[in-house]
Amino acid sequence: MRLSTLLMAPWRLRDLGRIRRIAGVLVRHGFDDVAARLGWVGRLRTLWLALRRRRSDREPRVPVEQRIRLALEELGPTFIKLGQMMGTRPDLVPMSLVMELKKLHDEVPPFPLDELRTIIESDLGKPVDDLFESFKDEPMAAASIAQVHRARLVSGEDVVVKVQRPQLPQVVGADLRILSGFAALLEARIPETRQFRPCAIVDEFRRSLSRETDFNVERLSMERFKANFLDEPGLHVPEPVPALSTRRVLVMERVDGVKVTDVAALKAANLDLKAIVEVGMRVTMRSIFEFGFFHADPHPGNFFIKKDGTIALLDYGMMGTIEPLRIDELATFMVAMVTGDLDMMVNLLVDADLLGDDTDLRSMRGELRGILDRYGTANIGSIDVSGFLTEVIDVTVRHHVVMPADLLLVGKAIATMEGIGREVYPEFEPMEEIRPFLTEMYVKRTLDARRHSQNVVRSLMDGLALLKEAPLDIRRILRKARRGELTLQVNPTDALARQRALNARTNRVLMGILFPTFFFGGIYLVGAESTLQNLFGLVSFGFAGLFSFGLMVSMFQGDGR
Amino acid sequence: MIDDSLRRGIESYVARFLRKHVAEALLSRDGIRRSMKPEDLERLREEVMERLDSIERQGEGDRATVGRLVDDLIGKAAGSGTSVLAVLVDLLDRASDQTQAKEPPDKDEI
Repeated sequence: MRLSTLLMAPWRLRDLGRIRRIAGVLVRHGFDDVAARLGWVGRLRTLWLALRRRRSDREPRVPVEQRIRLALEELGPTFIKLGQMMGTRPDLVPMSLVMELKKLHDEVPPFPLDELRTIIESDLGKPVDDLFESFKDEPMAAASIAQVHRARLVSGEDVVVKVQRPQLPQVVGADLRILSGFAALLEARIPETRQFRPCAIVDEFRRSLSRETDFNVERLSMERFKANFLDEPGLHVPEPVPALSTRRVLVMERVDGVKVTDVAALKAANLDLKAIVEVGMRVTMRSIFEFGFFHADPHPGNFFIKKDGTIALLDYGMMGTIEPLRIDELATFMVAMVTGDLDMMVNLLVDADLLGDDTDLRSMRGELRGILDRYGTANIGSIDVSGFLTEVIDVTVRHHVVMPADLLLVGKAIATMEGIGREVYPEFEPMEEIRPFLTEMYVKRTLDARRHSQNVVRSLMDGLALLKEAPLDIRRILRKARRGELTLQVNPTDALARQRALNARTNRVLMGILFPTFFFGGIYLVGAESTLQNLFGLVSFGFAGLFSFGLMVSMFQGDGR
Repeated sequence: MIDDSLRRGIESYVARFLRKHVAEALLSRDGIRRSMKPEDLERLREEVMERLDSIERQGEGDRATVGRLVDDLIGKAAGSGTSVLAVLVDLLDRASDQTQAKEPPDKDEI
């Protein structure tokens, strides 16, 4: 590794071994050019890798998205978590990578039982045998953040106990340090990666991880989600046990059921698959548009179906939240989409100030019209909702519309549920569920007098505050004006450019006038009889030459001035 | 943030506005009508109209509170406007004083 690389990033000496390993994995998965450009491998090795790459270019290559996933899996827990987080952020990484990252496997060997018992006992203040009537030493699952064990409370209820991996903050801290340096290096040395905002991804990952490693946050999320869906009999949210839950330990009710994608088992249990899928889609839509609090990564592994057909939704570690104002915007956008109302859609983009400086509104409208017409005339059952959403988003993004991350996340949640629905019940028509739901919700929100009244009151209060402060502010401005201290700041970039262009044009005109003057003057003087006049004639030619050269340079530099 | 009477009064006004001027226009929009079954749309219409009507009636007696608030606000706005105006007049007076002080005296005054 080059010294300059080491000095650029916030790494420590003990990180070197890990960085070397990361470089090795990058090379193994065909990212040798990345490793070389980062300065993680020496010059000779870079040359050797380039030669080898030229040879391997002739062979068919594994897609880059797949290679990224494989590399992340090989790099271990923190990187797997990073991949999972990226998989929930279609605003940060391309959709093709989002889909590939869904396949990431988060399975790691379990950690020793005595360490697990030490964590439980130190957090809950009692030996495991006193806290539980029985505790299964064999874990149900072991993942990068925690592992889960079956247990029975002294009161007789069956529970699962989720225990955080030992030394997790330290391990994560070191990996995050390496990742921060890696992201900064990527942005500095490989400019084409800047579009994927590596530093922003790592920052987001840091925040997401800090939430996920505090099980109190997860417990509160479970309670909130449960309270939101008290009126939904088709959904079951496991009950946490607050008295036995801490930052590192989470105890919750055990739910027995069948994985939602185990269609054979569901059919064998004679369950109504259509009803299950409808409940799943309704819960997804309500969690987003009614409560603004939803499962940010609802993969099939988190959906279990109980004996009575109710859906048990598990794992509340990664939740998404949306502000009420944004819900309105999202709902309006989605309703415009599913009802084929182009004006509504474009007006929203304009009102929400999402258009880029160089958005070609006419051309974007044309493309959106094409998509809306195509889906509007399609048979409702055959509409691929996620495909529809992806096409609309692709057009807007291509026209430099800044699509909010929430919309993209919502799109992903709906797409996941659509996928589960079609897998479990192939006759499922997602649009048949989504369109009336969105329309009804939109009408109710638009005609919600209480919500509008709150906005009226808020505006009134803002107005009052403005009225109260206005005289003082105006007085202050006027006082400054009186003293001659009032300054106006303008962005001079444009003004300077215009000034330069004007100067260039003026100079060109002047040179255009002076060149013929000196040229023809020179002809006249050279033809004269006096030697002094001849001498002036030659000087005049010299000036004419200079002006003509200046004129040509100015014309070639042109650049629109 | 505000007392119940005022809140109900504002809600009543807003509900009346939505019921009289917005609801029908919204529900009869082509995209909305096409997205729901007629019976579901009718159920929705009844539900929202009933709700708006109920909110309007609940706050009927409190609309006077809103009226008083509006009077107050207009008063305050007028007060603020007067303050702003006073500052402007004051500034203009000073400016004209200064101009007069700098101007050369009329010949007649010499």
